[in-house]
Amino acid sequence: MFETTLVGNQPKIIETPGTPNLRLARNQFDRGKINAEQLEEILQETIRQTVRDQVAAGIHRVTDGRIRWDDPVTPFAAAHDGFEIGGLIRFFDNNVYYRRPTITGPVRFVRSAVAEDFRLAAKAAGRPVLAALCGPFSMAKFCTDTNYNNSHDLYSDCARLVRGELEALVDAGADWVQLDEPFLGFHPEEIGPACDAIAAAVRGVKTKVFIYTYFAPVAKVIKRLWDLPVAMIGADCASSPANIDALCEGPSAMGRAFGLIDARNTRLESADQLARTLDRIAESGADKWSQCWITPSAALEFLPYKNAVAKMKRMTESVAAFTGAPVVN
Amino acid sequence: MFETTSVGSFPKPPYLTKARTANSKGEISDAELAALERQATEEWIKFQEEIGIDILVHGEMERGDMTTYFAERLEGYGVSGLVRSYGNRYYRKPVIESTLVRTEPMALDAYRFAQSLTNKPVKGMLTGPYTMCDWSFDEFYPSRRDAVLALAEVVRGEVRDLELAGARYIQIDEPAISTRPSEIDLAIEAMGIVTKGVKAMTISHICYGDFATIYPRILDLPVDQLDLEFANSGFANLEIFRHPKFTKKVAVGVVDVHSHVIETKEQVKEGIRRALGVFDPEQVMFDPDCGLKTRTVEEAKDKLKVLVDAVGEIKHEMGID
Repeated sequence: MFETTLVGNQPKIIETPGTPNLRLARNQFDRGKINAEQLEEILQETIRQTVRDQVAAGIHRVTDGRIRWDDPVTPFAAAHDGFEIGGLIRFFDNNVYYRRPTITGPVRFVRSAVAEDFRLAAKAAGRPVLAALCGPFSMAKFCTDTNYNNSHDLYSDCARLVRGELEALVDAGADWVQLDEPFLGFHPEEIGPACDAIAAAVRGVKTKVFIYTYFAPVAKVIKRLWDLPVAMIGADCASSPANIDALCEGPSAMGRAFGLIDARNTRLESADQLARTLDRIAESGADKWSQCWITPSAALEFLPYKNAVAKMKRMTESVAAFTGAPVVN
Repeated sequence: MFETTSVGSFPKPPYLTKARTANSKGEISDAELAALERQATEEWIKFQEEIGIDILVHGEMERGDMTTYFAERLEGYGVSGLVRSYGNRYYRKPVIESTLVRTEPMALDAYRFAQSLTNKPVKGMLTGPYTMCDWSFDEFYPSRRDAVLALAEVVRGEVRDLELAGARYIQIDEPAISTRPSEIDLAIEAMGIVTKGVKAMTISHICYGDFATIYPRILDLPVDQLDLEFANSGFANLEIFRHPKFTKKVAVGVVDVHSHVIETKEQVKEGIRRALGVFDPEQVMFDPDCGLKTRTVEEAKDKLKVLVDAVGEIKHEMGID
């Protein structure tokens, strides 16, 4: 009934013995002490190791860990036309910052920012891999727009860019793609245009699409999300526990992802507490839903590496205890 | 009226950055590092006096992260493994592991030293209880409310010590307040504990959040002045404070600390004029949007200089110098 996956960046400092030090490598690259090829080699080995760590923890559907991502938007701003990377700004309500891109020209797809890392993860994993990219609405919201001054055209072009990425991931073999849409819950007044943009990006694409939103309650927007032409809706249930009920109430044909593991606090969830929550979800009819995934609430990169690993294990062990199926690693 | 000030942190000169790294590796002693921190503080105090800043800050040469610095000195706190702050920058985030106890003053020595160097007032600089909680992991307290109120008692002790030492201005930074509007009542309750009965002018710096969601409720935060960022948003957020009328004193951020570009004097003056369209002249001070620690020393100095020059010219134009 329940499967586990991850919904955001994994810690980039991997403490598994033998893993190269990506932080040091980036510093060395910035100082000209290693070249781009050497840095790339270390990036790829870090991706392979984060996949191995997820497999070791028993995650059912692993990810590439988004090791290249500092945040959900700058990888795309750097790869495609229309963006300039700007100054630091706080990432939602976290003591974490990102460089807010400015949209200075028409947003146009150039080359996929994510397909190669998906291929690399798929090769290393030996089990299903969830690809991920930023959804069109949040892509626009993460940026400052100085080009369009018209949200309809801006969202439409962001949707076309996301479509290009989705098609590149289909070519790479992705059967599931997560679209990060954290801004949905924060802007219920724009849920109509936001859903139009998501629908335009995903309609007819030959992969299953999973919309994940974090940090905000979804009660005011969830009814519109159920109508999207996607396969799954997920939400952060640690920041907003009421999201559990909101997700349970949707149509059975749609999959759900419950972000139960708090990705922003080191306190480890108790196995009893998780068992009670899984029981509550199961009693809501989870066996009738097309899929039911259990995930962290957001990127585990908010935590130090060891805490992130401990949380992954607690999640997979709790699901295994509930379903009676062993952790496969 | 129209005083100039700073939000808190300044960039560390390269010799101090190197010394901090060396100290962390055990290559130089704590005493050697402290001497260099005092040297850097002296340089920043001297610079602020030279360019004519009215209310000085000590520049936080002894601090890395504004939460971790205090957490490392409180009983009950541990530190986590490394977490990323931005780009390739990492820090060790504090973890509340047991009951929080303040065993000694944490900000007093830095204040006393800086104030001993100048006849101008120097702010006492603290991080507020809501932000301390929000920017920590909490593995101990049963709720965020319990953790915030415990931290309020800790910060209250710091405020009392600074006031007894003669601080006329005490700033209790709460940058996290604007990011979680649903907890504004808790933040206000905690600040009430921190500032109750304090005679010094109390200030709270808040930045980079959605001010519209906490205004006008934020006017109930029990401090005398709110210190707010405006330049980063191109002063667009000024309109939030037009109605209802802003009732506190306000320090207006008129240079962007997240940009390498040094504003022109005319740009800063235009920002000041726009602020004066919303706030009364009697209410305002002017400063950078936030701490300048992420800029280079030269960028920070240039931004402070253009700030002082622009305020001076506006005062002259208005006949109030």
